[in-house]
Amino acid sequence: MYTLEVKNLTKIFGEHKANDNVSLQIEKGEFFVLLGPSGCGKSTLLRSVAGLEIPDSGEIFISGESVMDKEPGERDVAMMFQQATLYPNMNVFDNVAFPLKIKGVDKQKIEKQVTDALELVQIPEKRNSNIKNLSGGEAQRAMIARVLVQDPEVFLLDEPFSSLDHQLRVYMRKEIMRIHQKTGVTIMFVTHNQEEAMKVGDQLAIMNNGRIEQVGTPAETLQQPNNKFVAQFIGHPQMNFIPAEVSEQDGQLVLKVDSQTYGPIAQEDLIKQPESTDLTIGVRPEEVSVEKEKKSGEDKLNSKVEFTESTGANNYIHFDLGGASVQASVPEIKDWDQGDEVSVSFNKERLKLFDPDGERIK
Amino acid sequence: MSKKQTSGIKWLRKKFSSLLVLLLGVGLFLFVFLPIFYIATMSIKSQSYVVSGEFSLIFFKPSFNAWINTFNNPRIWTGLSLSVRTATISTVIAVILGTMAAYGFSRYKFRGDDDFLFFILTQRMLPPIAIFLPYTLVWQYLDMIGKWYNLLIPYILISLPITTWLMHAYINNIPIELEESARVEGCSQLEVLWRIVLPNSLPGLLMTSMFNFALLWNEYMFALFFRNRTLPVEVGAGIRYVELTPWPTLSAQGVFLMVLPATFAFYLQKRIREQPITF
Repeated sequence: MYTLEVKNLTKIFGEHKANDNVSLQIEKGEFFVLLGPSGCGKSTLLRSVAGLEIPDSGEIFISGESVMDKEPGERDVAMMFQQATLYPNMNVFDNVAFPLKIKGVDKQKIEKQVTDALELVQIPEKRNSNIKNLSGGEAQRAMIARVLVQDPEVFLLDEPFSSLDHQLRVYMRKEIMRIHQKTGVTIMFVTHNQEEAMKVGDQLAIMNNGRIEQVGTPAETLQQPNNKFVAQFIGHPQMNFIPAEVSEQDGQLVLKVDSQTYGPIAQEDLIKQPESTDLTIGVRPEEVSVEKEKKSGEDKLNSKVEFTESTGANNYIHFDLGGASVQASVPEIKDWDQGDEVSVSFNKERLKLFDPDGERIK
Repeated sequence: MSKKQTSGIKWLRKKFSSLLVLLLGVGLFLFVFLPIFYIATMSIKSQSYVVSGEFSLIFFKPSFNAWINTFNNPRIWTGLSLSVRTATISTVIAVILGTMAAYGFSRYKFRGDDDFLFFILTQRMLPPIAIFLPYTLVWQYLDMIGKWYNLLIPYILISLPITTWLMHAYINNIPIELEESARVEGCSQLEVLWRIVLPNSLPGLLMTSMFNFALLWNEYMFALFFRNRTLPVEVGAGIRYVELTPWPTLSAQGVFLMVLPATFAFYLQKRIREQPITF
């Protein structure tokens, strides 16, 4: 039994399909991240789980039980929004105690649970503070405490830290991970920040245009993207995409980039047979190796350096292949100059191939 | 040389503009407070002094006859009781209904909602005298002319548009996420209204109530025509066109009429300032 299961969920706003036949399963204790560009429907999905949106079709199960007829408050979920939704008319203690009061928990229990929760988020000294006097981080901690006291089956977070500055965001992210480890609560976390998603998630679901493109561990989505969208969305710096044509040469498959030939590629490496000859090579900058001199031969492509750039820690050179701008990671930036001849080869194991629909075939 | 001259001009300009501000301030002060001061002093003059032809705002022999007359007049007390009753009840009902309407307009989208909201405001622009006739016919038919509660419906009606608009603005200011949070935490829709929306729009509620109370407290026409001797009607009844008007007594009643809403307003504005809610 899954802690949270979504089956064929569709939600339409006017003409726009915010969620298009979405299905997913979350195991107990999992840190599940919904990742996607803004407007991809990830927040709508989360809000449907919370009961704040009524889906047009599909079903949602929490602990094996359908929650479609349940009010948001009856679903055994707790939710954190982008902004800390502390109630301005209550102090910190009353804010954290609010969900318990609504559920009619008795006073002594409330006192103990709220005290414990404030301890856990490390702001016990703020219990009687007016929420106006909290810093951004303290407000988020109070929010986490209010979510924790509800002891929910699923903890829903809708980009909870995106309004914080970078340092605080990193810090709160660690806090959430610490609390996740300590309490073992199941978390569904929405973000558009792929770095954040990779760091916190046990499982990622990458969404685009209302659909889930891929579900997997961060490593899986990075190393085995289902399609071009996932490949370009996950990983930093971005994957290079080079248009190529597949053709047969001496009974073997080769890739043609402009007039140059790359290959051969082993037939058995392909997940499926390409239906078209127009393909896209996907290769990450660190999987591109470059040599200074023009060399010909198997698996070598030639180009000229267009420009170089450095982040201090990482150095990249950029060149053109088949009309696409390609960047390669290099150990030393000073070895390279604009206009230098460069001979390029790829890590063949890691090289990806995408068909014209963007599906990965290798 | 020119530098010094320009700085001199600047200095003059600065002096002149602060003088202008001072003059404006004094003018405004006199404009607002002179009439009040005038009737306040009038209320402690004697009738014989007022009609003697002498006039001084400050130097005169005070007499408290007018105030004694006022407090000894039972009609003032019945007027006060009626005014307090009608203004309070109407304000409370209008604020409750208006807030509920405002919440609906703020949180639920339906076809033509903006037009409907504007339509509500246009009701405030309706001249009261225009609806006076139908009311009179209905009250006559129901034998309600002269009954104190016949004022409630027109009073609620004239306060509702502004109440709805003011509260709509306040409630729009409350982030919807606060309500959604509360709903996920187990509140029903009514509990959300009661525990989250209302407490967080308290300054708005107080302001709106204050505004409505003052409006209804001063209402004259409906009270007069529906034969309800509220305080303004009682005060107005003192004006004589044939005999001599008892100016000091009338002034004392006028001051008395001002005191209650002023106290109410003072108390409320303190509460509002003590509890500013920002999101």
